[in-house]
Amino acid sequence: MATEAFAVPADGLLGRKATVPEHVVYRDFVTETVVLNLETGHYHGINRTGGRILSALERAETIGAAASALAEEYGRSVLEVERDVCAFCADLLDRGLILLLPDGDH
Amino acid sequence: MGSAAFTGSAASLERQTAPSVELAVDRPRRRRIAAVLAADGLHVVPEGEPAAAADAVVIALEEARGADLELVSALRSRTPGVAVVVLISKPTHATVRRLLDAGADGIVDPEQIEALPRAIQACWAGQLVLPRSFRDSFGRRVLTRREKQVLGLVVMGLSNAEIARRLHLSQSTVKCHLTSSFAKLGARSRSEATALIVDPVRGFGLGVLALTTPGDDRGH
Repeated sequence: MATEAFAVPADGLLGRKATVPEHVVYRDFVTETVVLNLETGHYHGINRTGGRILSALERAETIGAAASALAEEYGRSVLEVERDVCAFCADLLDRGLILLLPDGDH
Repeated sequence: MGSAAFTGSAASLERQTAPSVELAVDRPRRRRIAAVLAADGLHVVPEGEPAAAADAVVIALEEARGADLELVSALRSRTPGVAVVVLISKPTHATVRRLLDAGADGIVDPEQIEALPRAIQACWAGQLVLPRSFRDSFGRRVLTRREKQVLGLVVMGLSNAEIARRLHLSQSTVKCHLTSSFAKLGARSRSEATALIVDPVRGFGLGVLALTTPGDDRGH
């Protein structure tokens, strides 16, 4: 399955499916979510909101769908949440912590 | 020739060579412990006398839980400079760790009561005193790269089978790495190892698993 791990314009992210790659493991702890990248050996700590976004990304068919679900859960505007989720996805992509599946592969 | 003169009082030239000790123990033990300390020249604050000026406090505990730990913490905060030495039978790694976290400076097994005077002296001099059997548990923890990887995945909640699959190892190899890393950390189980690493207050922190520190090239 082909995947890509490079930056994609935010507008183009919403219709894509994000997945956590095989070399990345994450776990929610009381105060934060810890993400381990087995390829780099780096641990990343993300706050509760980041942890919620990460698990929403895994469940949803697209990043946009994840943003919509989170907007409903948190009672915020979809546009605002889409912007936050896309910015967070860009950070995760930079660190190799998520991959984007090709269009039509989800 | 000028006349000779002392420049300081006799008292100012004296140097305290032994700490005064408060005993927070029950009466039957008090007599025995006081005798052991007195034989080594340590001054025990008499029962009923204010112990505010004591240099060290010896406290005997049956276990190290809730109220016992609060007592140690209270002693430590009451007089931050005092040496707090705990007498406790057959201390475990977890017991020792909890007592140190609560503020104990020394831990002595009553079966080695003859070591108490020197333990008090050492703590009074600013040292930490533990039974020698804890040398490995509290000494330098050098985890190999593989041990860090395996332990990291344990912390992330993966089973041995999942760890073996992710790292392309056999499950028996995973078990070997876990056994050696648990021994280095002084942990007896996965949950204890995880708590030792990620506990936000008392844990080592995930830094202990970082793969970018010197020594990672050894013992793959």
